[in-house]
Amino acid sequence: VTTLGPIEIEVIRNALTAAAAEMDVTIWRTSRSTIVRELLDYSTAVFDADGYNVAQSARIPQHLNSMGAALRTLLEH
Amino acid sequence: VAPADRRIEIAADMRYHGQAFELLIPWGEVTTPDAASLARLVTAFHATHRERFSYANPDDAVEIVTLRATAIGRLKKPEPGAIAPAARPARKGTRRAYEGGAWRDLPVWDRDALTPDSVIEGPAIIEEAFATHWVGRGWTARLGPAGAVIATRDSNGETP
Repeated sequence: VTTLGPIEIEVIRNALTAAAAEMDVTIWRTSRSTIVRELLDYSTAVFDADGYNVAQSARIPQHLNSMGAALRTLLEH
Repeated sequence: VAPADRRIEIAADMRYHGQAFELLIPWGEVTTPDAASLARLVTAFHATHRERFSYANPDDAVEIVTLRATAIGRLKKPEPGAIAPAARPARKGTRRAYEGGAWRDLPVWDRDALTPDSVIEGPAIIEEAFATHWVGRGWTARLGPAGAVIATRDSNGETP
């Protein structure tokens, strides 16, 4: 196991958060749904291979718990 | 502005039907749009959408929401004026300054009297009406084109 320093952890954490934020903006700017565009009723997140949430963009945080559970269930089946 | 130096460039704000945000797509100098130039514009929109948002839907309807015309007139680039140094010595004296851990008498140069032959070796001070420049140790400053003072670091082997 490689030990990461505080700077590496911050760089990686922000890169992952930026990926989630870019997904967020892409959906917002390209959406054809007023629910998405005006109410921002969507969420984006980056998950690891086991289905665990590693970074998220906070639009509707309530989505995020269910996304992780749904992805893990999909991976199990 | 001479006719040869004029341009009118067209750009379009475009989106897929149903979207609410447009992308600005340059169209170039289009005077009478025809099927070929429209096809070129739509192709550019799909490509820009793919570049910006990582996907494109080439079969979907595309809308032009706004057309923009930019009129450009190219002006002649002004030539830098000739340097007219003030008729007095460029070296105006010395000033006591703390440099390199000691108080020293450093050369003071008069910015307005500098000529292309002035070689200002740091540490030195250049005075002008609105500012005082510090030329650090290991740096040499000379008068460049258009009267700019250009300092180069000696150790880099740069030529001014």
